[in-house]
Amino acid sequence: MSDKKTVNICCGTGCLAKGSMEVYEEMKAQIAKLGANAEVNVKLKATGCDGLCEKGPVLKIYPDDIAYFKVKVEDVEDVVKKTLMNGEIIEKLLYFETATKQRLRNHKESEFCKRQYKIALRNVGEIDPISLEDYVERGGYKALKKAIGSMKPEDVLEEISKSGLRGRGGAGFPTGRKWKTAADIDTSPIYVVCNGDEGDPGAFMDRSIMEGDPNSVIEGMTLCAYAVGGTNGFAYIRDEYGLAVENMQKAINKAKEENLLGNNILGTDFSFDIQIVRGGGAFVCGESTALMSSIEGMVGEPRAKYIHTTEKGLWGQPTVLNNVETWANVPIIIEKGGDWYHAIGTMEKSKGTKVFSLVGKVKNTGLVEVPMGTTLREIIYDIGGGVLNDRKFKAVQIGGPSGGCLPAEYLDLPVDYDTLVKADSMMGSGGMIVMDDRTCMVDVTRYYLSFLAEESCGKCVPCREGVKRMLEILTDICDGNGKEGDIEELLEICSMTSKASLCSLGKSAPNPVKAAIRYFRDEFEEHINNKRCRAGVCKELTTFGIDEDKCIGCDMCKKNCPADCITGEIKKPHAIDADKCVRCGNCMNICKFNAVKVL
Amino acid sequence: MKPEFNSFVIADPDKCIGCRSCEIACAAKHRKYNQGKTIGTMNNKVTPRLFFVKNKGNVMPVQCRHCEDAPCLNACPVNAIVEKDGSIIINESACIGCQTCTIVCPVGAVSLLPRTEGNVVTGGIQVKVRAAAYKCDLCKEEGGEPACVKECPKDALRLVDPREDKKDRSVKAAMELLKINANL
Amino acid sequence: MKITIDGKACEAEKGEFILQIARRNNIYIPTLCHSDALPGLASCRLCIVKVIDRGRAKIVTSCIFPVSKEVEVVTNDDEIKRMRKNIVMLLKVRCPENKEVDELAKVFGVEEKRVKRFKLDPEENCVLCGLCAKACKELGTGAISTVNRGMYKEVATPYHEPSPECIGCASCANVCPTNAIKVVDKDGERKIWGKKFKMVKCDLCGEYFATEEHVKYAYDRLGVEKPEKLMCSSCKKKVTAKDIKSIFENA
Repeated sequence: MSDKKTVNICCGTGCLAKGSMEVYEEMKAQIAKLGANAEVNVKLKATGCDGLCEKGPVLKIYPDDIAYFKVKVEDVEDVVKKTLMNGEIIEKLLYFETATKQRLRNHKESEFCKRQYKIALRNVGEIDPISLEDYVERGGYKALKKAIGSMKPEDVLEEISKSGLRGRGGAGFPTGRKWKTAADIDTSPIYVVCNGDEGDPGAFMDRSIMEGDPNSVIEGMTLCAYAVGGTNGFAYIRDEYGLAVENMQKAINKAKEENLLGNNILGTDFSFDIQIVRGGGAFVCGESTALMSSIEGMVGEPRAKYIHTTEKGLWGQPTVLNNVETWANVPIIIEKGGDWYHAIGTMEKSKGTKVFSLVGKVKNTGLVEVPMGTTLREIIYDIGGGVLNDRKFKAVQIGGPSGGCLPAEYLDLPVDYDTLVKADSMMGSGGMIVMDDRTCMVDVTRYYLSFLAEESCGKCVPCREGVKRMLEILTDICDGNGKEGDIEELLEICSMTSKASLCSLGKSAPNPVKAAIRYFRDEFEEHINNKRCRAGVCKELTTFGIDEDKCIGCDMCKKNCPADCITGEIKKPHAIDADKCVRCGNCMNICKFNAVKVL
Repeated sequence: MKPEFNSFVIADPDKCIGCRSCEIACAAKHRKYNQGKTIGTMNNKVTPRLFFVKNKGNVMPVQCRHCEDAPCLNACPVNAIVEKDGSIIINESACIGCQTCTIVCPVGAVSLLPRTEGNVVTGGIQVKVRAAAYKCDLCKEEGGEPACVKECPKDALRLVDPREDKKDRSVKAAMELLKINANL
Repeated sequence: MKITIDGKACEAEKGEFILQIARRNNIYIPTLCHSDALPGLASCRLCIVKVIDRGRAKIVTSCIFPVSKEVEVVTNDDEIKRMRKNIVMLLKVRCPENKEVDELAKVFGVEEKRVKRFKLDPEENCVLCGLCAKACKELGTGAISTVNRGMYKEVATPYHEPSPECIGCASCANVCPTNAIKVVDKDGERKIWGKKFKMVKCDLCGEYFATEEHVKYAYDRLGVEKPEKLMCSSCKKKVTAKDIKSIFENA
């Protein structure tokens, strides 16, 4: 009797970029070599994102619960021969816990994993995303069968309302209330839409769910259709997410074959289909009315929401639009009940869990799902392992270009919809970017505005002109041309743009500016008045110098200088020639003695 | 029974003395904002809907025939021209000033003129003046009694109802005129 | 139903827009991109007002906000005044040499010093209200529209090339609130949006009065052939008067 093992190799976009497909193919070849008579029967799965993107390619072996990281093609033969055949662990491939400086056999014991509570990501990294059997094996489509078999549409609505689920796209509108508005309208068709346009720089939660567990989204949408009388579904996926589009389409096709989607679902007279619509490459199409315009074949420009889209959306019909992560939560809520979901998390008005993409200057870059109420400190330090290279924490940007940065004093704030807003930030869709002392807050603000200036639809004056001119001011400041009164002018434009803009892109565009000025005003003033960038980023405002008292003459800076502007003998203090220096900052990054300074 | 032709105003060229009171009466009747008591109290443009013409040996106002199957109504791309109780009316606020109606009107009864907006719209700010199409509307919005007919000192203007005595010279002339542009 | 605007009780129909109701009650709300003929653009945001509903205030554009409840509307408090000033300031920065924008800037008290801080383009006159594009769309020609996104947005013909759909009617220039569209009529030729048009001559007086394409467009809409002889509006009036005179003489 051969021993059955399953090998999961992450083939989400992150690991694919690191060569996991080659590892997968090599594993396939090695397993084939074993032949049918081997003592071990290996099933190989290409899964979605495990979450620990920083340590990919990720390879997991079940039922042994062994996880290998940064697996290379050259390692595969050893994995098969030593671990699969002989149960021998390859130490160097195990997860290294930085906190305890120990290798872990099962990375689920790691600080990164054990503090997470995976609900939306419950299957991602564990299943082959396009295998319906895998999904069903882990409880998939139980909810849909339960709903159609023994629940009335009102019952499904009730469970979602009880759960306290709020939109995970950022706005946090109560999902139950949204569905009920559409359900109360007696008309046809009623549309159910998935917002897969995820445009925030640094955010990839939705991508990972669509790539790694498309059925969770499909089942969620179908349950909604059952609850509200939905007739047609659209999954709007940004064009750049090729793998997500592919996997969602394959999953839709398979679900239809099994009567879980399409006409007469599970043999009843309930019919609902989902069509994928690819985006055209515009961040603004993540805004619900612009998204609907785009589906209708028109230019992706938002319109006023004085009449809600749940009443008049696509083609003037009631439309329920929700984010990918919201949809992924629906099936498990119906399966386990709204009360179960409501009990998760420690916040009064935010229930359940939230997926974050933890990126930037953090050690454990990747996907993290935690209960609402988890603190920023816990996410960044305990789960994230702290700041990369142990540099000093400066700020964390939450909510992407619609959110604001928070400095160290706020690390003990809990993540939820309402608390962060009071600090001039917001949870948003879950992008969390960690910044260290080598990040210039003025430059970051300028970056977000340059993004928004191009992505704004350009229809209304406050956003189009406001963002453009704020960008002009910030660019001037970073170039050393900041003028007296610039900070006041920025805040003045912010005050109008945040209220008079047509859509939430414009209304939230001032957020990064307001937050950065609130918490880092002195950095702005230093740029304008002293023409100095303390982070050493704005080249016109940076002069690097070496502190002779701290420099031990290790020569690392000189070795890594692309401009040959550092002089000095080994074991003697070095010096930088400011005229030759190109301000790349390599020396400051590499010096372990804090000897390189911004003068 | 619906008359074959709509009512319209026509001037008797022998009676007209060219005083242009009809134009002023028309403009004053249609003015929504600032009803002037005398010319000195009006501070925006005079926009009549009938138009005084000077030919050699002939002066008279010319105005809309309220054609059946009006070409102006059919040509207007924004549906600013509608038929109401047998009159052809231009909805001034729906007009974009494209001048398509002025091209197709057989009689020249439509003119493009500057549109006056009241202070409640402009707030007294000097705005760019936009033009719109104007023509006789038989004072339908203002009560239905054509101001020009009432104010003409020589009774030269008359509202012709085609159901009237066909022997009347004005009616006969009206019928003749309509036959001239019956194709359009 | 009733709503209050600046303390004044106003009758309103459900679904009516605040701007309509205000104007009917002689309450002024500034606008720029609003036109009764081409409504619904809501791009300039000058007509913003505060709607207070159950104690909560929100800023909406009065031109397209439909009333459905008996709310309180404030059109001109300090906060709104400040926002309007900032909007006009940005328009003046965009179009520093435009007469109509300058007029607005004076009325709303925009400080010259703030405007001068920015990089100014003296050639820009378009405020991107969208009225011209909408007019062209309503005409059925659709020769111009707003192209590109964000700060690169502009009104143009496809690829900035002379548009086959343009009939040279200049409706766009008429509806433009800032005179931003250049129409040049010279020697029987009209130039607009980079396209040259031959104009039609009046059979009687010889004045050029419309482009050939516009005349074709007009008669195509009627589904008839254009007449052999075309006259300008003034001459048509003169001929009509002559006809009436001769009819009366022969009657």
